[in-house]
Amino acid sequence: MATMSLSEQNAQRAEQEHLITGKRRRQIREALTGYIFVLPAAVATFLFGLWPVVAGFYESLKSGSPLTNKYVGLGNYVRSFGSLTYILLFALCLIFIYGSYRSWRGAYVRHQQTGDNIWPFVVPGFLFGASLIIFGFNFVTGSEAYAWVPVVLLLLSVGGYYTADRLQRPPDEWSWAGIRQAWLWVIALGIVWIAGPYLVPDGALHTPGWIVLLGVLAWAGYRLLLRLARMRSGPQVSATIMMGTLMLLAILLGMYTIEQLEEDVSEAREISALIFNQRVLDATATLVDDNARIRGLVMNEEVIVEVRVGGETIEAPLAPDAFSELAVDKITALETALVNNQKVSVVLPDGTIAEGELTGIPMGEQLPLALGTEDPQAVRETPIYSALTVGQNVIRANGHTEPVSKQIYGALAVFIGIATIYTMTWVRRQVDDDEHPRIHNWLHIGRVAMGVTVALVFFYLIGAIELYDQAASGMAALTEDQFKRAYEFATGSPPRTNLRTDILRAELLYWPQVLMVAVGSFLIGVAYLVWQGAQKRETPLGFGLTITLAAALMVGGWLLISEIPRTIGLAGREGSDTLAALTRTAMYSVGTVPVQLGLGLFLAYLLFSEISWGKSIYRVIYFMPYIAPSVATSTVFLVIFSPYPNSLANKTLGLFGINAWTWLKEPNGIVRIFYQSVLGGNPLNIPEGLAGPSLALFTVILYNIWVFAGYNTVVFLAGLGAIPTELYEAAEVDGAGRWSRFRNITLPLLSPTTFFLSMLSIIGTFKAFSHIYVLRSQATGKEIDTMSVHIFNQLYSANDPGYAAALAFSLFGVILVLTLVQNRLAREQVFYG
Amino acid sequence: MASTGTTTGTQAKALDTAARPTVATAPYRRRPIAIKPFRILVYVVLTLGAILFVMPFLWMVSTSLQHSGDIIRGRALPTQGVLQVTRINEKDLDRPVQDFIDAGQSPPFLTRVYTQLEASKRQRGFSLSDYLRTQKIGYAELEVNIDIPVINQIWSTRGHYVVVGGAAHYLEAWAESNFSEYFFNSVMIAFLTIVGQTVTSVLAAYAFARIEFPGSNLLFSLFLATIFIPTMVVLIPNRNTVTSIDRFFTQQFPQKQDDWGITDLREDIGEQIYKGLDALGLENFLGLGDAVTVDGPLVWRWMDSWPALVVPFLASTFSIFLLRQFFMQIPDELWDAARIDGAGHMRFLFQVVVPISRAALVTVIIFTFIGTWNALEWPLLVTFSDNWRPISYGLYAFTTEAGSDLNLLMAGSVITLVPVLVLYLFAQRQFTEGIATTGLKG
Repeated sequence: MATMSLSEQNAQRAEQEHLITGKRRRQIREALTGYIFVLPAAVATFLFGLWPVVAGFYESLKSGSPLTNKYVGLGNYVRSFGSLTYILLFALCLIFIYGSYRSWRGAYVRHQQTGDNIWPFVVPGFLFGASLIIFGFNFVTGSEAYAWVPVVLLLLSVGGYYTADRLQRPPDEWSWAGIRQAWLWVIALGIVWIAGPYLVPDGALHTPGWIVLLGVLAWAGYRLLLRLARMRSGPQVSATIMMGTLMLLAILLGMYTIEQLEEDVSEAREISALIFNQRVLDATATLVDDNARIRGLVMNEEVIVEVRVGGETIEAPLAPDAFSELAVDKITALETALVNNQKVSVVLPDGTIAEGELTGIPMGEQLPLALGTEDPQAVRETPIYSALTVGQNVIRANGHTEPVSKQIYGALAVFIGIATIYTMTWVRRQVDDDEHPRIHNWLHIGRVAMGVTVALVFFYLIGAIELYDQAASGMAALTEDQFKRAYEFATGSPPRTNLRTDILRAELLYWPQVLMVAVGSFLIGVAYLVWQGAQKRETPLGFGLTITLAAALMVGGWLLISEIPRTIGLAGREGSDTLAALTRTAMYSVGTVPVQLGLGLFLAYLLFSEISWGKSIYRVIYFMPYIAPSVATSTVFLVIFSPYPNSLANKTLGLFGINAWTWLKEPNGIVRIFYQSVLGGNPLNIPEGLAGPSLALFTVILYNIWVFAGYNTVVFLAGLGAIPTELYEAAEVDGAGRWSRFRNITLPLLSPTTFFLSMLSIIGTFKAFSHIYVLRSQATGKEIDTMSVHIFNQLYSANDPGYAAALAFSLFGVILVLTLVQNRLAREQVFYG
Repeated sequence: MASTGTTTGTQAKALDTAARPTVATAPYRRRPIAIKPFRILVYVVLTLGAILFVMPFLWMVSTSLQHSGDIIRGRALPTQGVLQVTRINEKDLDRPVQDFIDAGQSPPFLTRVYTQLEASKRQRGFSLSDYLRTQKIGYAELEVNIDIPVINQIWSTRGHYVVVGGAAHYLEAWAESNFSEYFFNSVMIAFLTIVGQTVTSVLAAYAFARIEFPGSNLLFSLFLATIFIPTMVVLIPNRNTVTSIDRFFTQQFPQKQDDWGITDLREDIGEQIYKGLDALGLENFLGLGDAVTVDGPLVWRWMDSWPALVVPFLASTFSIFLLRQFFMQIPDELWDAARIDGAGHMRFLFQVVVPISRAALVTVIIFTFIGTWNALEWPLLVTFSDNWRPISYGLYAFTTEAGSDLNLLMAGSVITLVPVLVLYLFAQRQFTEGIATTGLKG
């Protein structure tokens, strides 16, 4: 080293740098070529493959009407899934939090292993996440009001990351000067990017000016990128970005959901508080009855009508001004009908008693006085609602329902409280009893106190929910007419046309259902934990008790979760349509996948192992349905399975002496039809739940099996070909028979293929469209509308793109969950090599 | 040892081919085919299965050849003749049927339905063409004009033919139910999609397989992520995108065009293109003539035209994935050799990679073709007229309007099916291998 002169060293360094720059230039050129090659495909994929996911989500939040395409929040999702929407969003929140925790955990473990500090990375991570989210929000909504915010956040986070990265280096490798320089570039970039357009008046900057500005921007960016490229803490950066983004997303999503829930419920809550106010309950409203039936009733003074029902006398005034131009003579008849045909007598001021019958809701609950005259403007007076009818319940609900957000925070408190108790117990177990008896004791006391608090908050929640429930049942008891009168009395104006009691009732139940299902899921989670814990118990009694507890929790949890169909059903007709479509899709999937996989495996096995001649011919034939255009093949199915008595399917049935079926037009379940036409029984003996998929859907299932069995055969053949033949030879030497070879070699070694195919088939049935859409033209009603056809109809026939987008996203969610669950299952079941 | 050096290629080949059979056939000879009852059972099961699988196709063809009476009776095979072509004078078709009977020189296709004719006096007044149309037999008229410029000195033909029998359903579906138009629309769409998609896919697949650039893994996983996105999610926003692009290209905005300098640009470039198109007689090819017409507003329809049906499918993850798998197997030595010879990526790609991956390209092209041919939901959303409706749409529309004409419907199905089936039978090996390696349909 010492022999080398300074100039030599310099020359060597220059040469090295030359080499390095040359290499770098080559790398850059290579990278540029790569980008240019990918560009066309990337543009098309992003514009028509990935961007639609963002745009579609945005679309699903809007009403989609061509005139007023206004923002409706979760309205479309609530339309299709009722309060399940909120449950799912809260679940998504939890998943985000878990993901955030996972990425943090990964970074933390790494930190413990390598000793590098990750704390400085956290703040830029959150900044980056915030920048991403705000940018995405601006991009989707097209708002430019705070366009500079994400840029500032992004630059801050970049600078922060750079600083954090430098701080990791040993002290001799970094200097404050480097960090200062990087920040300088960041600030310069920020100023040019944000302030640049503001600094010059509009239009003053002509093309050359812009070029200069952009040039400066590009240069600053390039310098910054060069610095960033030398960063070494990639894993920390990605982990903290992930963590920050997911965490912020979870928080924002949670807040948004709470706000939306509050907003959706608040109206119903206010209205129910107004209506179930005692003043309204006791008020009487003047009704005009068009079905005037009392002949000869004329009056010119205030008339108090007494009505005797059973032994009870009730007075009701008739407004005089309504009859101002008439004079009372006498009542000749009171002709009104009463459901249970009870006679009532009306005592008029002059002492005459008129007898008649009253119409209305059962006696003792409500008293509509349907007094009318021949005059069409006859007047009827009725108390809107009797406080006695729903009893104390409504009075308690009277304006005392708690705001939803308060309850949600209560629920959150319960959640956190339980987590704290769990943590305290864990810490207490770690702390040695003998060394720190005091801490031990305090932890116990704290645990108990926390438990009491949690219990109190929980009871508060239950009480609050009970009030909502009562308000909802009170709302359900009101007829539409009564509701209108009461609303008008309370607010002074008639209700909107789309304000109906069933909708209000559903809205009142949103929150109770969310809480119930959440508690149910929580109980099931606890039951699982207890079940796991049961294995550690040593005494049989302890084991038995834990198992019993787990079972009880499980049952309780399921009972609460079984609320879910009702939560969807409450969304009205659309909700039940969605539910029906989903059920149909599930039936279609269950009916198709096992059969086509089994058939595919059977055929592939026969082709591969049992025959030597003609393999490829059979393969070509079996594969043909898959490759043929689905519109053409489903058209043939329309002909073969047409309801004519002479169609091929019906003639085949005829060979077995069975009368013709109507196939695609048949909404009855296949079990019922089989029972009727083959066994000759009464189809109604089979309960609805056991009737199975409708015959129409069964026809679609047959089609699907016909199309995909060959495809499965081909893939299975490839899988079979990959199994080494030595295994079979060895097994044969050991004397294994055909079945045992199949069972012990083929099946396990084929499991990756089976898994792949089952996943693909299930997702395929959820996405299936063309053939169902064609076969649908002959089916009655919505009998074979699976989820994707249902979605397409909402878009194409009902022209309701917002709703369709919401449904499509729900389907996307279902498919994602199915994929994840299958992956999870596969980890245990599939044998890879 | 000079002889070994001078052994010609042909000799080497001959040696090779002579040596091969003995090596190749040896294992087969060792095990003679034994006829076992189990194996026969397997064959029976497989054959029955195969019959069941082919049945719908056979039924399709058979139904398309039957007349309505046969269909209602549920016949398995057509009772009428399949094809009978008779050359006829065009004027004869307009003559009343009575004339033919009086003259006693009925054409052969008429005598077949003659018995029914005797029963009805009213029908005797019909012209021959109308009469045959009302009968429940397959009937179509065919104009043939073959006039090839040079060869017409020797041979040309021009004639009017009457086609009777099952095959006439095809002619009827083709001509009267617009299937010819749908068919050529589909061919056009498939052609454009294939060209576009193959180019983008080859480039992208090559970049992913052979070029190192930062972010390539991320980009590729983003591409793969699109596979998991259901069509229904993408459908709605894509329609919006195409609609807005369509609105952009069809709106009248003369001032803005001036602002952007578009008018100048169009005068410079557009005129040349337009002249070129005009010279080729293609002034309205693909609707581009409107777009490049120099005077008048910029009009380039996207909705209800080919761009809406082609552009969204210009990139296919499936094709990129398949080609990438194939390109990655190409040995590095080839690239090194090309590099030494001074070839860049572009030349290496088009002179080495593309020629040796012909099989993979064929697979990709066929899959793209089938994907385009089968598409239904997207054309339903973006086409409003028959001008660009593809054949799957035509067939779907036909199922709802064909009513009792099941034979026409089935003829339409066969027309839809045949191109795909022919392709499949020719390239079935690529098909099954492509499916087996990726497990996906295009």
